Amino acid sequence: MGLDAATGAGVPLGRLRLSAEEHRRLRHQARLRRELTGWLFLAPMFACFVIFLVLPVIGTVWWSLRSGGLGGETKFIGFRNFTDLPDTVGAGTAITNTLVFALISVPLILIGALAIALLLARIERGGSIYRFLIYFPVLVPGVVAALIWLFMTNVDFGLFNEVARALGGKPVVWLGADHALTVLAILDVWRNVGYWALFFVAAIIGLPKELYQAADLDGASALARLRYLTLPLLRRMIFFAVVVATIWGLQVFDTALVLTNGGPGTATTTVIYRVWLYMFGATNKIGVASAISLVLIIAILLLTLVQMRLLRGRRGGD
Amino acid sequence: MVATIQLDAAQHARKRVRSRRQREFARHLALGLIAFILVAPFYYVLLASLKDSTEIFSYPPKLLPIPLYLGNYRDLLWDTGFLRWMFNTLFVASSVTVIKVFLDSMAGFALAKIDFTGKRIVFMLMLILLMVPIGALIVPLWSLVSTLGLINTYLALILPPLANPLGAILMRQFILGLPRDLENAARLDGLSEFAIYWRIVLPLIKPGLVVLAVITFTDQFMSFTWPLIATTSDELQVLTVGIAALRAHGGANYGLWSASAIMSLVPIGIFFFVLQRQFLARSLAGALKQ
Amino acid sequence: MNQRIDRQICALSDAHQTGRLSRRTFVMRLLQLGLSTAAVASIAAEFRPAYAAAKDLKGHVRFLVGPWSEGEVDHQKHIAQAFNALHPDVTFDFRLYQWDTAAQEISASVAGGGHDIYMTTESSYPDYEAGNGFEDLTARINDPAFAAEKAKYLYWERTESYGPKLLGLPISWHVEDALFVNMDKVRAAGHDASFIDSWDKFLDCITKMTKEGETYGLGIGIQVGGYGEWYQRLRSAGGSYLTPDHTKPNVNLPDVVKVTEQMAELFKKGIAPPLGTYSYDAAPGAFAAGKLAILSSDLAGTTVLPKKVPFDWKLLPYPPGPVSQVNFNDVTYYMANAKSPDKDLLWEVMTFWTNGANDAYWADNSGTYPARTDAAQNGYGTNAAPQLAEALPLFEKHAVGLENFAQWATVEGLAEAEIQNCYAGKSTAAEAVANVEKIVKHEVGL
Repeated sequence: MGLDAATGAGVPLGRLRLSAEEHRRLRHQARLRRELTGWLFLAPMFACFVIFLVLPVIGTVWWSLRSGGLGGETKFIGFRNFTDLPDTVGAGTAITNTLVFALISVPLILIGALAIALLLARIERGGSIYRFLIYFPVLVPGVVAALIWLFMTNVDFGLFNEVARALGGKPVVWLGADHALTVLAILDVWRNVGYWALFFVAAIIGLPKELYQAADLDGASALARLRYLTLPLLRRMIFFAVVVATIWGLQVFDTALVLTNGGPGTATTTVIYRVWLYMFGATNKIGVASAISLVLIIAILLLTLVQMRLLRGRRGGD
Repeated sequence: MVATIQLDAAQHARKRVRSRRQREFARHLALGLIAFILVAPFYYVLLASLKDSTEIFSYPPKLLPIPLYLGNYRDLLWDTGFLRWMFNTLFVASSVTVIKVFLDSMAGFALAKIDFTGKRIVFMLMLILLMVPIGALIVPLWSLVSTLGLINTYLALILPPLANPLGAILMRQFILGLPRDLENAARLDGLSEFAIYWRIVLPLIKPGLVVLAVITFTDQFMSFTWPLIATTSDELQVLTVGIAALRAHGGANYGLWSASAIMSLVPIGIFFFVLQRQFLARSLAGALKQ
Repeated sequence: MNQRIDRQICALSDAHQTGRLSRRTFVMRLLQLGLSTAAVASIAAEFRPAYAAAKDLKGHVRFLVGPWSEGEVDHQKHIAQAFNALHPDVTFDFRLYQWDTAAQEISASVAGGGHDIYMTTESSYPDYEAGNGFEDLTARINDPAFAAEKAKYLYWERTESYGPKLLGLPISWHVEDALFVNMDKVRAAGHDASFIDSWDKFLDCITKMTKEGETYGLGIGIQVGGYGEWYQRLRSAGGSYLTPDHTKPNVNLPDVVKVTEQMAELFKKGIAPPLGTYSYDAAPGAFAAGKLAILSSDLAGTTVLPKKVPFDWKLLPYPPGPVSQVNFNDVTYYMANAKSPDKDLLWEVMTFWTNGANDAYWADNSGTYPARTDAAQNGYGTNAAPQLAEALPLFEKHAVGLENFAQWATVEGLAEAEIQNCYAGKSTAAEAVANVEKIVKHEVGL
């Protein structure tokens, strides 16, 4: 329309020229259209993001400063939920359990995944069968995995004790207070090692081949290749994997619920398990549940920031 | 002199081939062992599902499934809501996948190719909240869904997963990789933004779309914590919640549990078998995030 | 049909048609005559006075109930069918919660209006009393027209003790930690049923019954969350979570530490299997197979034990503690969601579900004691294990319930977990009891 007005208002035919004002108006309209389009494309997803992610995060913060129940009224009590946390019997245990769990499962997962990836990346034939088998446990929902392991850890007829007996040893109470957390961690390793193995395979395949050829010509041993070539090159990937695997490890809940119900005693009560207990278990504890959730969220955010910062730093250096 | 060198070269070559074969064999051995350990539990559970529960209970237990007992599967399919749960899970997972692929690719397109105010802030916000787990948000999320009156509806299962920013971020990465000239040419040709998105960008990032679809579908298939509290009636139970509830019946019916475990793995197993490469790419997607 | 029943049916239908008998009572009496539900339905349909049409109920009722036995849903549907004989336009659906997540599932559902009728335990009654999620049934229960029926229910004193609001109709009286005793093994150890009369005799017996690698003397820590198990011992040592005036905890007493130590010793000596060896679901099977000479668990296990357990077994209460012999039990209720629209329908449904015939039927098949005076006449005892009836007087003699403060259920859950840590060797008895005291203070806000 602007153009027509320009051409119609006595501008000689064949010359399309806009005055400064019309130019500005056109640019303004184009920019408006661009803004609108951008937001229109973004809006549906962003709306869901705000409603179902941002709002709940704000809600968690809001509730962590209050005491009261789900259906009823809540009162503002400031930071008391947080200051009370260290005194809450069981809060410390939940945190310790979660950390120990992560400390056992994450290194095992990553070392196992790396080892598998190194083997898989170099295998010549039949790789896809191994990939399928190794990745399969990843697809098992936590609940189903826990049921399978419940069966296998049965003291009298579970697979583990059958093997133990066959090897001449004594049957072990796998889900007893001493071993339950470890068993939970091994369950997690079993479920996740395939995922990270394929991750590292993709990363290894992406490494520059010339370096390896050069190393071969120089007669480097496999161990030397690993130490001086592969690991340093994969440094960023490994670091990323550590952070993400840890973040996932900190959220363990469904397997703890189905395998042991947080027990025996509090041996496998994790942080999210406690949140869940408090959220619905009693009328007045929604503030505490939110406070614990918030602490977890902040811990995860810190880990994420650390990862982003360190990776960005390295990006320049690499 | 020359002859000796030639012989040495031949010997050398033979030795190299032999040691290469040895290494290959060692790799197969190691991988085979690992794969065996990882997959053995499934075989064990398969065996258990084919035995009568009361037999499993007998002390000492018998391990071989003779005779084959299909009663567990019959009980599972006829007497429990298993088929219903399977339908619910597949329905919800597919819905979320289809919707998310479109919503996220549109959002990614906007973030990658269109300049608008607030773009940086939105993107930073998504990055920061990327890792916040749904498990830590069940309290307010439940309250929100309840206020909206959506508890125990399919929407309660479909809408919250759409908030996960991973998809949008992933799509942005993929779309950023596309050459600028293509869309500039399209714009000059007078194509609307939506047409550019639909006809040019989408086909080009198809591998990315498939990766996103696979990630989303798998995550939805396995999700447990949220469906546990979001659905209250029998008809809307999803697979994971239903199987967990099988534990509730007094008396440990290991046969039934085993059958449910095996049956629940069938769809995802087929899915995986058919789309193996895309699953590999799922792991790769993590790498691409950098 | 023989003549006597025929005459009774005529008498009943006359009374009903002239309005002297309500329709519900009419159908109830017909059921009590021992007719099948199909027969009753057809009779009822035939004798349908004009005024009854207006009172026909319509609607959909959603139940959330506990998994008492493997056939729980079937039992519920059986009762629903009988109800449909009276009111064909009412539909039902039943969902089971799991014992370990029951409190969570119930409160999530109540707050979200998810179900209409809930099966709840007394352990959360004080908590529910303090809130307003459940419908207040006081007016209906205390209505003089209901008085005759109300008199047939048991345990009103307990229900009424929780406060002005009456929130539910009692269904059953349940012993949460009874001893399933393998009497053959007891006799082989040189004792008889009197071994539970003192802790020393008890300890001697279970020590003798323990054979390493073969049998454990006593299985404890097996009931879901240890519910009620240590609490029983706490009360038997003269302790309680709160003093009767609810002003301070009454947990950290020397006798309490002593009984806790006694229980923890059983693990150290190998008499009790390490925690986690047998899960709640698998333990009855282990008992039946002779792996556990005595199993401490709730009565619902009687529905799981195969009918032909190859030895003589009994249900017995725990031996006494330093102060008294105590047996923990709780009542189960049907409660209605305050958010549901048709309260009249729900009241009809709940009273039907808890009438003599149906309560007897349900309790008979669920391994628990009914909360009705007329249960025996209505067939309670047909399917239930005979050991249940035999043990009832013993349980009733030393019965003790929960304490009336809102956080009782939460405290109980956390306390039992703490004590199980002690059984597992993670803390001493003294430390564990001190921790329980801290838990009480923290949860109650003292």
